[in-house]
Amino acid sequence: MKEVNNKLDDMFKSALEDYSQEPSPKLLNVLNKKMFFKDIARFNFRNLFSKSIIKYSSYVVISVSTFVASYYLINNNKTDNKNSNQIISQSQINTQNHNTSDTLNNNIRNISSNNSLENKTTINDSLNNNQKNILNNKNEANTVINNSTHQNSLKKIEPNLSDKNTTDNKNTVNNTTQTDLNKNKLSSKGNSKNKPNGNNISDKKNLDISASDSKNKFESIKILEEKNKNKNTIDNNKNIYNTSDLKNINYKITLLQPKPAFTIKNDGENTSSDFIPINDNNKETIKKNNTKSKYIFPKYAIEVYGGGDYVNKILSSPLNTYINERNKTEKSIYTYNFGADIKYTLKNTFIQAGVNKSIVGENVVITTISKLLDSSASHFNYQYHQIIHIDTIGWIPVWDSIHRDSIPILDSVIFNTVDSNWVSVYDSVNKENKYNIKNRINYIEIPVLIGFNFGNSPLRFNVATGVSFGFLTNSKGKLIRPYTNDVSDFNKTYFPFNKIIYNYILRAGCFYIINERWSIFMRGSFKYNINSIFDKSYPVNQKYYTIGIQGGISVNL
Amino acid sequence: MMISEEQIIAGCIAGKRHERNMLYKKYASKMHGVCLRYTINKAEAEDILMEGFMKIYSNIKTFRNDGSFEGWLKRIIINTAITHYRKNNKYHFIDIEQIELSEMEDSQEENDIEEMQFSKEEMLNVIQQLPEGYKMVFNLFVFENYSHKEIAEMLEISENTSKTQLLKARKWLRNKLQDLSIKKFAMLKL
Repeated sequence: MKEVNNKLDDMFKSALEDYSQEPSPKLLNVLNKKMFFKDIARFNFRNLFSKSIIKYSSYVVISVSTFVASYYLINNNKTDNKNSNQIISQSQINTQNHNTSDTLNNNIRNISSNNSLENKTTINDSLNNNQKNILNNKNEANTVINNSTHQNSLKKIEPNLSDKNTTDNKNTVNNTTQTDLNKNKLSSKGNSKNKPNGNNISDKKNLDISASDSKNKFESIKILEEKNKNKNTIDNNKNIYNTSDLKNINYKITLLQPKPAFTIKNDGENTSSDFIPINDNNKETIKKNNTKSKYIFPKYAIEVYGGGDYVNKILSSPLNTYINERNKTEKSIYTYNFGADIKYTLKNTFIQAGVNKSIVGENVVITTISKLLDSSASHFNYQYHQIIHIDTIGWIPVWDSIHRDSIPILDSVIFNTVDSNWVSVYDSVNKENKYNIKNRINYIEIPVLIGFNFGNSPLRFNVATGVSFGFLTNSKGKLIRPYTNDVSDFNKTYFPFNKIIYNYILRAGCFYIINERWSIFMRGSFKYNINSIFDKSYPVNQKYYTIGIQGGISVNL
Repeated sequence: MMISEEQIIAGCIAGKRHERNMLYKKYASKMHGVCLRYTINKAEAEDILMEGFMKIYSNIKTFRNDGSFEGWLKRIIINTAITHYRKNNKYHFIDIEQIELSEMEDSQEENDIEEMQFSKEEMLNVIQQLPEGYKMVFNLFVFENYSHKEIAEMLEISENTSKTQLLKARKWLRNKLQDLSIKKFAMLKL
């Protein structure tokens, strides 16, 4: 019976074990749709938008913002020339008001000039300077790679040897090493362009593949060390490899180990190298050091942020009294901001564009005094007045034998009779009107910035500068009107706002890399209106500067 | 451009749609064949297949390279089929421990199955017609090579129940195949 059962089982098994049938073609689309929503829930944005959409949309945002900025910059210059008569030279009037802004501008210049001097950190910076020289040096360089028989000995690097051309001392790298490198898809020429900088996603793939090929990332260095055993006897002081092989080896090290296992100390006269071979004792620390600095900036990232702002205004106008009055009665405000940016990073430079909401304004406390009309006391003063008005049309000359004179000809005599005048009587006590106003002007801004990242640890710093274009969404509040000193609501008649303002932005902060996908950041920001919030027709030039703090999260795509 | 399986796995871990689609195209037909054995019809099989692939995409990070990738995929699909079955058929199994297995084995007729020639589709059709409980046990024992103990744990039944279900399944299949062969023979005569 068991045999029969076995036959039956075998019959079914042989027929259906490898049975395959294509599912319906629609299934893949349905599956992709379901995964789309699942990815949203899991913040897996890679599949939400294709790379090309993100790329092109960021190009569109940057180009549109640049176009709008240049258009309004050009326009502003033209209108400035036309309307220069309206506004008296601001350098005289605004000296006091712009003192603070000038110092701020100076500080901004200092910061930006300092940034240009600082060294940008890349993966290559993790190599010591001497190794860099070796890579960049076109002449053959001498290197020493520790082999297992000389693990504890120190080796010297002599990058520029006079006997560099001696072929006797050349040791070619083993072919198997080359094939190992080829497996990892590295260029054999060692062109700097082919160096994996980590920002190229395909390079990152290679990193991942090389890591997956060997369980231990440092295994290939061990392979190199073992292979050195089998080579010809190595001169301890001078081991010269082919430049291309040398570059390959160094690339391998770069690829697997952003911070090399060996360090180079500068002992003053001669650069000596202390090669610390990888062994069980130091493997963990080297791995830790490498994992810290192995973060490679992705090309695209989305940042979402929010924070608080301190907003203060800068007024300028020929109406000094008005300005003084406003400065007395208005106070700066604390408000909030939030937004999202798309960031494109190339090495340590990034371009960022996005959209955010910003609020400017002031708190106004005005007290006005007005007279109260006493209607009961006001009256007609019934007094009879008669005014005689004589009009003349000419003069008739009268001659006599002795005198020469003229007599006026009376045209008409007008009698104006005033019956009574209305006399308004005001109350002896004046009325005080107190206004506590919160003026708020809301903008949707499109910032476009360029910046730099610094640092190698998970905690890094960046600085960015740029412009933003603010589009007025709404305004609410009251202000003292110039000339009349009346307090009026914001409206087009009395307060002609500019629909678009543009600002200068500076951001500086730090960010902490949580993992390859997520990081959090905190930064300070400074924003300054380049143009007034009011139209040129308005006699007051009103700008704001905003100092803020923002915190947020960044998601790599 | 040829992409290795590791690249596909890495791409799926990263959540890239292109790699996910490649994984689907490579294994969907095989896994669909597995699903067909556990279900009544194609529609149900596709439901399980889709659910299974969603689980695969979500959990591919947990794959540890300690076995065959295809085997890992198959296990997920089978677990999905079992979950689907347990949702829909809660009270199907009847514990019949009082019936002795040896009695059941002796009562079964010996049929010469070797002579019967059936196509894969016919055999699949026969399996699909199996009652649910028999189908699950038969598939897990014969195709996935699980022991009765393991089947009992997976389906939350007793070991004896698993054994009896298997015997009943075999009997049912044998009878079905006989009927099918008689019909075929009759058709040929006509």
